[in-house]
Amino acid sequence: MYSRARMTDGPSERFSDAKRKPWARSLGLSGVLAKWESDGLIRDITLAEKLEPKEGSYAVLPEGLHPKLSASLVARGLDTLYSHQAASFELARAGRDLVVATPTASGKSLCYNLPILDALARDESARALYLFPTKALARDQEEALRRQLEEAGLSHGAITYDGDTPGDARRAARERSGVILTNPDMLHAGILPHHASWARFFSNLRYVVIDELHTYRGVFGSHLANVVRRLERVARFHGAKPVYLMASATIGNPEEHASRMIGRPVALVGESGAPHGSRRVVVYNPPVINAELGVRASYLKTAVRLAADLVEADVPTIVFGQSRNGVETMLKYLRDRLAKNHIDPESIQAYRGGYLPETRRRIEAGLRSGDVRCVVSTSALELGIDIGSLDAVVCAGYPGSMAGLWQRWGRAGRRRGESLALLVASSAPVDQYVALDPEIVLRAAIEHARIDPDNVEILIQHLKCATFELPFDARETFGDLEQIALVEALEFLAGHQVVSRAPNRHGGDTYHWASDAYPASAVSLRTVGWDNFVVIDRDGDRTIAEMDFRSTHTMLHEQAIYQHEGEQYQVEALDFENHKAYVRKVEPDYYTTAMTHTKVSVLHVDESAEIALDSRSAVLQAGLGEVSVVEKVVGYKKIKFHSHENVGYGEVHLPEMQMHTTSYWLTVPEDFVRTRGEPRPVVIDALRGMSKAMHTVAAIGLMIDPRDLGRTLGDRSDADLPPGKGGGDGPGFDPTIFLYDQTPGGIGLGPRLFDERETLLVRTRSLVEACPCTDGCPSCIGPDAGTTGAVQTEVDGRKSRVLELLRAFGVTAVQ
Amino acid sequence: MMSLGRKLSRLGSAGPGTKPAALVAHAEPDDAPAEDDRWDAFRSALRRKATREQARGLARTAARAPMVLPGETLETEDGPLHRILDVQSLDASYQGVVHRSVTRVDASALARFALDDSFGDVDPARLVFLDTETTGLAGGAGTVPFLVGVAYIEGDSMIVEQWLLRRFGQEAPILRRLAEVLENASALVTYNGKSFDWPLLRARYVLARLPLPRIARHLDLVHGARRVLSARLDSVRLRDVERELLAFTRRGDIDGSEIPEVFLEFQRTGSHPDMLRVIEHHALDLRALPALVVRFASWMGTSEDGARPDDARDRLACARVGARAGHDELSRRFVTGMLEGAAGELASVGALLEAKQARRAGDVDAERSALERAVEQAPDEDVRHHALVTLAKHLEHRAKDFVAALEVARRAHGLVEDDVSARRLERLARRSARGRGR
Repeated sequence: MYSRARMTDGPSERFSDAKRKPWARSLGLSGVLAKWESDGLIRDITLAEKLEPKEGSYAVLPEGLHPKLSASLVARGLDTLYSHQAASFELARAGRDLVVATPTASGKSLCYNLPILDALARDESARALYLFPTKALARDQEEALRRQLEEAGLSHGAITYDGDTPGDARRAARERSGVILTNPDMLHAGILPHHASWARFFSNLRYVVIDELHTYRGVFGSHLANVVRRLERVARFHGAKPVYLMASATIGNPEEHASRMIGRPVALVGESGAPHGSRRVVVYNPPVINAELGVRASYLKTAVRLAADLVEADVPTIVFGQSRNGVETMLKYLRDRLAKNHIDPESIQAYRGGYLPETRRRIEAGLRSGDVRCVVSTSALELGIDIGSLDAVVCAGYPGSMAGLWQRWGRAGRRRGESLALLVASSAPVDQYVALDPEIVLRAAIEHARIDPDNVEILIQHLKCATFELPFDARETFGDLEQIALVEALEFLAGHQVVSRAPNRHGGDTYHWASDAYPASAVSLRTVGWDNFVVIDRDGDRTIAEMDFRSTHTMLHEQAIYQHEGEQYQVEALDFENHKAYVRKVEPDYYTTAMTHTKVSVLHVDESAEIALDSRSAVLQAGLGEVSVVEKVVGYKKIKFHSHENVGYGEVHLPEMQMHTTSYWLTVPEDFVRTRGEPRPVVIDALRGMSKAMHTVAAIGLMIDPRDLGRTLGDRSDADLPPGKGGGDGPGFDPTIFLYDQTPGGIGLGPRLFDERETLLVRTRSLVEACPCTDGCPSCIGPDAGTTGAVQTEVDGRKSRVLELLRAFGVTAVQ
Repeated sequence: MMSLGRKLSRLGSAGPGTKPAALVAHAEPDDAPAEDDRWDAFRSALRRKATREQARGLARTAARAPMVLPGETLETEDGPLHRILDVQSLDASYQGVVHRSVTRVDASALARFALDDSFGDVDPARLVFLDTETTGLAGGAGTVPFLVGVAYIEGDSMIVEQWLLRRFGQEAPILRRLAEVLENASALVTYNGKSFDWPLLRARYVLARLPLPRIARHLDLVHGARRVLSARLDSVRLRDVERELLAFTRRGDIDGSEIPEVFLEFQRTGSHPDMLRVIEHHALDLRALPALVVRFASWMGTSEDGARPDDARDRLACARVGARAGHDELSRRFVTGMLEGAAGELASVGALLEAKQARRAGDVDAERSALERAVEQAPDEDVRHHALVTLAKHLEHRAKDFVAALEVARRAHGLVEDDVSARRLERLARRSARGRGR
């Protein structure tokens, strides 16, 4: 890990070995760019910006560094550090909590490893806790850390403690290991509730590492902030006060996010000292091939064509796709295409969730060694999996956020020499918005990560866990939670009889856990379940993959073509009960894609209110209550490879995925829609635009990730009608905007929206008004569907139509 | 609710003249909300939640008049300690086991029962029997032992001492008193205590910041009970074991799964009619432990007049434990006699065991005849094959009767044809031919 890239540097060193085919022309990156120019591709390139290279900024090894460590660094050929690594070391040594926010592959892990190794070298009993969002990342770091411990001659040990850790290793981990690597879920449900068995660990806990901090946003992040509050409390009980060392990928507010996470100010190390070569940032918009219908060339095939040029020219390349299916399709195309030029298909690999750990390890190693020249990946490789750095990134489709785009692009870029960051726009509205105004990628602010540790529903759950872990003295604190608020919350729990207040020996009160339940098991930090399906190849009877519950519905229904490592398998049977899918290898000329249908229906109305903002305006019905959100895969399409023609349909009979949750809704009376004097679909489209803006405003106001809040436009009065896709037109269709909690049961987003229903409308209006776009964009009401080329339904004036609607509801501009 | 309003209002204040970034939903200036507002918002949200839930009908249980509990509350340095004490003469008995017999337990028999030599020199008069009732079975720092009890011998008495946690937060006196009792113990005896009670108590000492008592040895009866009884019993809960060994079936005993809720309600309201049953249940658990130790030690003892299990399966299991403990003589005693008249699996397995003992004793003829019986009585082909192979090996390597060995090996090969048996046949054919040739 010691910034390995610096030692194996050099523009094309990695590919200059015997693996290169003698007959391949080695154009290099500049050759490819020149070729694209001469081929006329330049016409469709809407942005080609060269970002200047940057010199490295170095610092000598800190004087205070333990001799064992300096010796092991020097032995690795590292006699200097990057300036941000040195800065982190000094801050950490001084006991400052910090967040490192520097680009991918700038040697971030050394920022936290160095002070920790130093502390271990000085103190035999010192302990450190590392948190990673996934098991895979923890395992990855465990290996690296063990190597470094060994090289420095330290015998502390580093153990990954998660659900897969065997029993005897667990004991060793608690008693002896200097470093514990785990994930938030395990800390929450497996370690903190048993902290008494971890007494030695907690009493010597010096550092806590939270890597990939940017992944902890929204509901998940709010949960983690509360787990940190509990961790702090437990550490305090055992007499420790750990220092937090955090690392984040590019986000807009690393310092604020980190300090919200741990409830106190942190130091920001934001200036990378790592050098980087120049980078070409290119946005490519596939040409319109049917002007009448506005259909553009397939972005997948375009991305494959461009990536193939790069691979042929010996440019190590990573291709990011939007979905698992997209990734597999691109892999197949790439292999097919390159096989004609005698490039080994094995040198092109896919990487995504669902692959077995050993498959992933093999691909990662292949990337590092250079045996793999191109990898096609989902967002799985956005995180800090160690694959070294590549020369080109091709994003097939915009990942939905600027932060996401730059995290993917960050995978390319060497210390010296040129690299390429390419976005191939799809025909989705957001993509087209970016492609048509591409300067935006250079000037737009990066999104903020938002959390709300004081969300009542989340906080209450963690207070239960905290009381289970240690009784609460009424004078105690819980992170930065105000004391009086804490006591009120504990009284609330006492009212529910899960905690019990008793006088303590100091004349005050103490709250004790008073239930036979184990509260942590009732609280899941993530919305998505962890229970997986396995995919079994009937020929050979072996497990080839694992799939999460949700993806199973769309990817493993019977008759589906399941694509795996560039091969096609047909799903012959799906054993839903036993979580098994049986597949057999086939060679079809098509793949399948599932069609999903979402329906929200109201189960119970908790509260309702009329919104009539002034006497002349239309009366809206606002509601709050329990809803059922049903997602169902209703069928699938067969899509022909290469031509992408639709060559057939099939039915799917799978249980629905049902979730009960809380929702806020806003119903517009059908009479109002009828009397608008415009075609119904036009009014519905404006309502949909309005709901998009409402969703954005709500997500910001609630400090959640937009994905934590579901949105649909449907009909509340008749649950059997489809949710207004394209506009239902039956009688009694009162269009209803649902904004619902994506966490089963809800975490209180609905009630807060209901309470703020009028403000929500007012702010929706100011968002739309203040937006500088001309007629709708992804940040307000969504772009015009007409520009996507798919369906030409829309007319001009969408934005003004939304504003007219709001005016008719009596929503006036903010003063 | 100020909070959301404020947060929303900040959205609009991106500032005049600043061009909002298009894909960012207005990066707001990040002035933190005023602290007061933040907590006002939190508290009013909490109140709304409470109101909503109250509307759904969650009511609080009213306090009742405090109930009268057995025992007495003592004042200690660490706070009040509620103790329920029962002192009986050593000449009294429990379910037919005289208390005094605990002092006469053969320590080496206990060591065999536990398969742990370190119990060989344990002083039976200083054993401490321990059991707890807890607020749950999940474990973890929030699971509280609310009733902790010990049974031990002092002077001429068998003492059962139970300590009840009347209020959360008053564990320290209990833990102190337990440490005192354990100070002089030769060993701790529990039922399932190694995986449940003791780790839980260890956590309580950590949480109460009290020094953890050192215990010299810990005998968890459940493991031994499983070894000697699970051939016959599906379940070896304490209830099942006392039914079999003490011929005692509890009547009106409270079900273990109901206990946490009884205590929790008692704790909330000051009273629960079933609290007395919980205390009684706990006392019975404590009383069963010394009686069971006497029984098990007697089974594994060498004395001729010691009690032995009646059931053949238990005896076979005891024989196995005896053999594992390296006491062949004892082991043999369980099976001899028992095999007469026995048939089928039991006879066959018993014969195999006997053969093993004979082999250890170096009695070649006895081993052969036992193995022949094992073949004869074999209930199925698997056991028969196993017995035949064992017999063939015995005949070849120890009895050196190659002709007979060849014959037996042929029968074994007839049941399972594999490479090993093919090689054995070949080898035996050679050896027996050579033997004949001489």
